[in-house]
Amino acid sequence: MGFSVSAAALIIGISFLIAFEGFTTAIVPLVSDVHQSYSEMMDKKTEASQASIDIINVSTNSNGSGYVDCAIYIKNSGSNTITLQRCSLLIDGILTVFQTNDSFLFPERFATLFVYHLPLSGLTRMKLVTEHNIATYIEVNI
Amino acid sequence: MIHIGFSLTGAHVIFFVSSVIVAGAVSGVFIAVTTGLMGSFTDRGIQIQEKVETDFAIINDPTAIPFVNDSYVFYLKNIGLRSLICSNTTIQVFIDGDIISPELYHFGTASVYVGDIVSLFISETMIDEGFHTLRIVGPSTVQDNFEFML
Repeated sequence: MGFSVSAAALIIGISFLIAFEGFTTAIVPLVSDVHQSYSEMMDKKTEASQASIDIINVSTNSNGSGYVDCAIYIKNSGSNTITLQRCSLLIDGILTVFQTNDSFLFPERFATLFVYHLPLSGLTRMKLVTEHNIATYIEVNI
Repeated sequence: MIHIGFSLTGAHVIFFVSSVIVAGAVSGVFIAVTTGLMGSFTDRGIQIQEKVETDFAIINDPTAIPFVNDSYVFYLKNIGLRSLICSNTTIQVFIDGDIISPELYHFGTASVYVGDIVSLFISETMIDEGFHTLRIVGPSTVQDNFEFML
């Protein structure tokens, strides 16, 4: 009788250990992955809170027939490096492709964005958005 | 005496076998429940991971919404950590709290990588002049609100 109870307890104990080991094997990498994702997202949010950009000036050059070329001077007034290729430029609300000689804009540095052959005239509103969704506006009279 | 001894041993054997069977049944139930729980935890963890890594923003100029081919154009920028699938089934659009029927909006591309922009075209019939609020709900209920004026 005692031996039977011991055998039953042994079987149940071994199955408990197997189940617990499987449970732990599944939970540990899961928690690790979630923590890593959360950390990466928090790092990104922290970068966004420290990011700032300004449009300093806009110069235009008319190339005839109502089209202009623009040079947009920007400054990174934040404490993080900005990836210029991931910035978005909207001119009068329309997403506009720009060119630049720089790939990254370091803190307290300047860069120039070039846009060509645009049909702009009068009061024009420009919005620049960084990869962290930090935006800056400027209105110019062309 | 032999009969009595055999009966006593037989009873012990019967007790042992039955206890092993019961213990096996208990163990089987225990392992099955734990396995199911592990699967649920894993699925939930993947959902949480997707929600944490998904983020986007509407970056339009609120006072200048482009109008192209009978549709107003809104720009969604992927500011998360993973690509977004852009379709009427994965992303829902609300104007002033009213959900827009999937036939009345579409996207410029099927997906948008991290840091890139996708255009959302909403039929002009859904938006009249004045002040409006656009709300876009994406995967894992990640959403963004945008107020604009036409």
